Amino acid sequence: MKTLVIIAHPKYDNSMTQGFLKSCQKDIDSVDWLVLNREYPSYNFDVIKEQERLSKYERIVFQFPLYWYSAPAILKQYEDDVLTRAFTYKNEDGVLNGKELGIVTTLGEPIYHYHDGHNEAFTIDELMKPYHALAHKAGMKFLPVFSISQFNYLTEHEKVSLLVKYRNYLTNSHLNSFKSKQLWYIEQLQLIRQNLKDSKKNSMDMLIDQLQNNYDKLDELNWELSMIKKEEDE
Amino acid sequence: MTDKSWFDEEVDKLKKDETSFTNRALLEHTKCLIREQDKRIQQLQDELDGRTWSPDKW
Repeated sequence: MKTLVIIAHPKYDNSMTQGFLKSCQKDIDSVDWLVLNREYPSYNFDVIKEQERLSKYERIVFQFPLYWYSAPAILKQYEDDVLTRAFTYKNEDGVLNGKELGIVTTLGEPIYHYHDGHNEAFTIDELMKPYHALAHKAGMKFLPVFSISQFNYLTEHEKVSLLVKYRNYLTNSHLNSFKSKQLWYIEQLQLIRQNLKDSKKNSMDMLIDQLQNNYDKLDELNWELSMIKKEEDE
Repeated sequence: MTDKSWFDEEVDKLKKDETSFTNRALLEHTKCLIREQDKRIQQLQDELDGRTWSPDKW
């Protein structure tokens, strides 16, 4: 699966959050980045080039800081210019049909402010509805929104967690499945193993074996349980 | 069930020589995954026991 991250950020080069996110996945060949503010500082999009680019990826991620409950203006202009009707509408053979659309948004406020009855009054899911509508129109699967709140206040441990979750968001082909999450981790450890010294490879193999054994055990238990439930239904 | 102290020790040993922040993060988070796996195994086993010994089947 190939992922394209499209970033809208007027101060991209000075953003610590964006720098961190970039460093999280720079070693992954299947993820490419497009920084709109760098590529098109005057908003003059090369529509054909960008449509061709979009057609090459299975997962497309819009990544931006939340400005007035939406993305910075350049992303809206990109949508207006690049996502033409013939290219986008599912019912007119649009080429985005069957792809996935994800949103990574960074917030200056605590995430708990985005709730009914709290400071911001609306949830992030509610605010991101226009993107969900776009995905729906294009026949794309809309992924759960990935929010990063107050990056500068994160502890080292929280940054570790963010890094793993973000990589998972970009590269795990089935985001809502624990089964897929386990396989994703095993794959990541196998990649690390490739560059280990021979003396360390054995330790890594034992860890991978343990994860795999647990995976198999869970699979077996789920199967047994589904058989029992089936019997109970009959 | 996983021997967690053994698993954590092995992870920590690998982390020690690892210079990449990304790799250290992935290794560290593997501890969370193994705990989640163990929790789910236990829950499924309990559910299986509960359903197998249900009074409805007596």
